[in-house]
Amino acid sequence: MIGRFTLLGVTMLGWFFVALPALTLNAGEALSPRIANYRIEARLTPETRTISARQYLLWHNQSRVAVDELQFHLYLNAFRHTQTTFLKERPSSARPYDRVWGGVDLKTIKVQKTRTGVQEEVNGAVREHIRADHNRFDAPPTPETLLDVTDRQSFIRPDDGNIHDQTVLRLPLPELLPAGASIWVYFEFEATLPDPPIARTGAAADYFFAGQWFPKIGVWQNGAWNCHQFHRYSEFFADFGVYDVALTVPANYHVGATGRAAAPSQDQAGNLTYHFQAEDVHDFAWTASPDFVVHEEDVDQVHVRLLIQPQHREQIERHMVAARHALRAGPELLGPYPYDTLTIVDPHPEAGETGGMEYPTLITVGTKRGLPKGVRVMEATLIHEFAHQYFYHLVASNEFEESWLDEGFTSYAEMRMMHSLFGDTAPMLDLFDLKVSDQHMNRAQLIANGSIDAMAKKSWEYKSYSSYGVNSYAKPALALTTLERVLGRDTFDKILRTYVKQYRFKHPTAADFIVVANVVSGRNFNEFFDQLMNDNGALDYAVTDVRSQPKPAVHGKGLEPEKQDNPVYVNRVELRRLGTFRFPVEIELRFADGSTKQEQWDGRDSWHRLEFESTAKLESAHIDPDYKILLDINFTNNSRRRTADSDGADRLASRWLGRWQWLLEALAL
Amino acid sequence: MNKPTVIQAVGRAFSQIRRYRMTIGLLFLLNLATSLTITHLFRVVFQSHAGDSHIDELPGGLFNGHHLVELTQSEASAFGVLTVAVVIGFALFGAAQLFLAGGVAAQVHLDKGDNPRVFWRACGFFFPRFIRLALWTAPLLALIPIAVVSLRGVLTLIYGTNFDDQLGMTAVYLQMLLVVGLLLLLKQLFALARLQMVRKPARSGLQSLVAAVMFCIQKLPTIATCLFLFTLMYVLLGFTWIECRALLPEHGLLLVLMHQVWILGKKTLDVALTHTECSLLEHHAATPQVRPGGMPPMRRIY
Repeated sequence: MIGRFTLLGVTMLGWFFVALPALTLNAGEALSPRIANYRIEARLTPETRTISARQYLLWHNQSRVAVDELQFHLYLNAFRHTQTTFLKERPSSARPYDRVWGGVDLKTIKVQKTRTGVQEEVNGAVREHIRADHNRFDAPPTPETLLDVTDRQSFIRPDDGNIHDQTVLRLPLPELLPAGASIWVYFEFEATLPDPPIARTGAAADYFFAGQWFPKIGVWQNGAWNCHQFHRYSEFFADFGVYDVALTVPANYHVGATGRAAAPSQDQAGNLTYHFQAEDVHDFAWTASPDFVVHEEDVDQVHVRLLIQPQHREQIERHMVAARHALRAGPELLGPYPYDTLTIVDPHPEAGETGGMEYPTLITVGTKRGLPKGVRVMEATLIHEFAHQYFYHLVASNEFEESWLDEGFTSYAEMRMMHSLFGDTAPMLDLFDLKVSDQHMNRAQLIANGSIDAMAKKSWEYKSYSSYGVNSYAKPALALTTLERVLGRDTFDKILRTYVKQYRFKHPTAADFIVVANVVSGRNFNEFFDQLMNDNGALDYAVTDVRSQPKPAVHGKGLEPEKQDNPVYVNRVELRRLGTFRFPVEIELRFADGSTKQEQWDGRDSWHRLEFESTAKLESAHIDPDYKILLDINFTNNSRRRTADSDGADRLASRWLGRWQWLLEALAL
Repeated sequence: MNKPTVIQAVGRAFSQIRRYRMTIGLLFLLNLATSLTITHLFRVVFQSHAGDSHIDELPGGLFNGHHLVELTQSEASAFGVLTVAVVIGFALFGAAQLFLAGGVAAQVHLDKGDNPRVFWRACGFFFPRFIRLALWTAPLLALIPIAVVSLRGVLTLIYGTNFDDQLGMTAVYLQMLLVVGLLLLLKQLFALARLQMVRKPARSGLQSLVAAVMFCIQKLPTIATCLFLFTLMYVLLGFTWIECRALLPEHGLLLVLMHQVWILGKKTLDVALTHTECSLLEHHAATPQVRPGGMPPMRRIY
């Protein structure tokens, strides 16, 4: 009895501490563990490309271990000079001349004390009282009551030891922060946006995009800080929280940001201050420009705001068609979209670096004037970035260490939504004879670069950007599509939805997804994922020989010649596994009389032979006739006819002869 | 009242066109032979890669995305060779066109129909001269970027520096139209210069070009009308091709045959245009020039 009450009491106490951040934050129901909560007041000075800001961070130590230091990302410092880790890894990212360099300059850092200063003797030991945790997000302390720790800051380089890199700040706390406690950290800083932009953030002409612009606390995980330097191929990782951000810009500027804004207020100088609030997000980005054409529309329960460049205004409806589809198809596939706002940004033509990126409830796209309707790059980008609201944002995996978990899943979801919008044949490009789908493009990347690295590497450890691209985007997307076709769409969709539902507002890893896949499907995919993630070998099955001959008559002592009313054929099919990736395959055998026969092979050995007799001549053999295994790098060798057929080439020649004739006529005199 | 010269010349050209069947046929055969060669080369590559595979059963046949992806990866070197072969093929076609242009121009100048002996002798005679003429004409291509910059300047004057924002795609289309239009005009100027050279073989390339330019300036309405009429005819030909193409099968012999009909139609128009321009040049040369000062024209008294 006592034991049960103790258990109940501990459980209730545990729930209290879990619920405490919610109780001390907003009245809205918390969807996430609100660990890192920011109040920021920022002012944009367009002429100098700077943002002057004050930031209050309320951080909760929700672990069971006391914390003696905090670590922060200062991502903009990657653009301070050419010796940073980011720019050393890819010098071509930024021209070194005639530009404004980026950076974050911290002027003041202050922290809240964790001890009250009152001491008492307990059992012969002197203990100082720990401050009772009454921190409320809506009641930040004044800076004067905080302890100045500006001099305690230092930069660390946990990944490569590059002494010139200042993208990770270490702040030792004057006092230990106990488990379950929270702390206010105050910054005064000035952020400079690079011009022209570098890697997702910066300024061009009157356009400003501020991404990763403020001191952002790392993730305290398993008793240690997960706070990597900013690498050329890496993205981001942070905890969920509430953001309350006031942005002051010149009066003629349109502003878009994460979350929702109330009507702006105006100061004496005529500048406008927009107050944005976003709950249960782990990042905050914003943009400002006087040139935006603003289009607003409600799509179901979501308020969509499109900020588009004036020369692209004829593409407003194209953007909205894609957005409407994403907002309906995304929840249908992956579950509810839990926010009531979505901002879509079309970057300035000289700020293409800021395009094609995702932030909570804000995405950047990018287009070209006169983009033909059959070229759907813009739509694919918009849908891709929206899909990131699920994978990266809701399911907040670590983009530094497992980039494929968000990019691969997002690419897969993008494929699904593009196919449902534009059809299966040519969702990406439909121009004359060229009908290209994202599957074609992903396979092209896989064939070209899939053998360089294994998939499971930290993002900056890939050999090249091409390798990062194929292992983060193309290969996992194809792998998921392969699983979908092998398991059936219903089962696979169930896996996806279970994974999203179970890991919403959490930080899952690959192992978590594999467990979900195994449990929901009832099959063991451990070997499949082991090969996929830890091996860079190719998947390639081929039919190397097809023979079919009339059965020879038997001769010899004691053998009676068989009477055959119908001819019998002796058939032989040889199959090879040319790559190292093993996967069970189906084989379809076609006969001269039109009949077919199905066979199976577990795909483990390097070769396999089928020998059998039939009454019809064998015409061909085809591994994976339904093209389910998109990871196969060569579909052409999956099938083999007994005798070559030129029909396909003849058809192609007859189509193209006339085209060459017309092309030559362009040179006619 | 006499008929307008241009209409007369066009009408006469089409009434005489049947006398140039050999010429039209030769031009057509050159186009067909070059196209067949290039197509065959590509056919060989596609057939060797996928001849015994079922990959052509995917939508798009051997041009489906999956096969194209694999083909370009595995036959990258073959495509490199093919690219060079195509470039060489186009270059040789251009040179052959220039070679045959001498024979075409000489025959229409004589206006006696097909004459193989005259044709081939003129081809050989005028080929090096036409090459020199082409070298003199090539610098005129620099007019194209100058014209585009000028157009952008005019648009800036009218709409301000952000004319792209205000005009959207119209600005792009205007520039494209300007480039294509100028290219076609330069092509016709080159054709007129060839005809001037054939009319007076003693002329150098530069003199022929200057004569062609002077003709255009002096007879601008005439030449503009001529080009306008033939542009209509070419557009009509293209329109019928586009409309009929949709009714034809995606591939096969019927499609190939119908293409030949249109190419023959275009070649006929090309020869008719050359004949018309030659007639206009002859008419212009035959018309007595008015002496300055209002004096009556001089008459040669034999």
